[in-house]
Amino acid sequence: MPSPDPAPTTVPTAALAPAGGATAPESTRHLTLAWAWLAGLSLLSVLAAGASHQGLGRLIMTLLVAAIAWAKARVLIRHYLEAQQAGPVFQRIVMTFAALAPLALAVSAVREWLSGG
Amino acid sequence: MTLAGVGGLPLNPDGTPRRLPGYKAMWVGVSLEYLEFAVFFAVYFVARWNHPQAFQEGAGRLWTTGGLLITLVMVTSGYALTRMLAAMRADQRRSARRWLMLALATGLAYPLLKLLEWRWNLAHQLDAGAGIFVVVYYYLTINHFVHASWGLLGMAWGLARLSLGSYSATDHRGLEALATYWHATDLVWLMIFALFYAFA
Repeated sequence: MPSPDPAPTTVPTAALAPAGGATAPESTRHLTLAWAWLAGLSLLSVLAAGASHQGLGRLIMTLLVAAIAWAKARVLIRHYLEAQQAGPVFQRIVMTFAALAPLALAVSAVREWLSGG
Repeated sequence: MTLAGVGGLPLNPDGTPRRLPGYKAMWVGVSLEYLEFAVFFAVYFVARWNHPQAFQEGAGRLWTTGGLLITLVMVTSGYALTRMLAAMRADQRRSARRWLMLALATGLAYPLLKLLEWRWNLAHQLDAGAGIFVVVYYYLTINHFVHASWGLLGMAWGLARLSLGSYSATDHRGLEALATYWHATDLVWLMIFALFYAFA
């Protein structure tokens, strides 16, 4: 299970770097960039899902969809939810939840590929 | 986490004090919401592992464009809420009110899209008798819809209170709690989107 960010200033991508906290001076540019990332990655995951429906290609695309879901969750948690401001316990709960479905999706993909799906 | 100075509050590495957005009760509620959906996801994966063929066939029959549009509605509404909070923190209440109105207006597209999706489903024989995939799909998405509806009601309440001047730059924790709830519900949707609509 991935652990929560060790330091509140850790960010998922350099492009989104100037994340603001609840009490930090507000910059809205990272909020807009986060929105663009969330929208773009959602579209990308649909395109990836439609790229292949069988064999190794399906396995790779499902793993990609899982990775994109995890990346989107990281962006949302960091820039919108401000979980890093909520303290380590709540941050850990949120990060654990965000990892559950992508991890299980990856396990499912491997399982279905091994069984010839 | 860095130990703090003033008031014993923990500090961020940039020296600003760490402060929980909204109320602790909301974060407890969000944690319980995640526990609830973790159980729902367990139901999904148990069903998928036992009926992989039904899931692969069923996912292809869903209205993918509808799922994508709902995702855009959720994240756009969430974006407007973040801008609303940024405006509140800068003591720009009129701007905050406009952003909250936009968040509510965008969010209200969600029930509309759900209605269209259900009509589309019925036209394609995706009803409760269409197999285990469709049952699990309705189970998760309707539950999410209920949670999002509470968020929309919260936005309407927050907008009314903001319009009445109940919040200020130094006291708007109710709006922060509202945003926390909506973003948390958005996170659930991002997972549902990957499980149903972006199905390879």
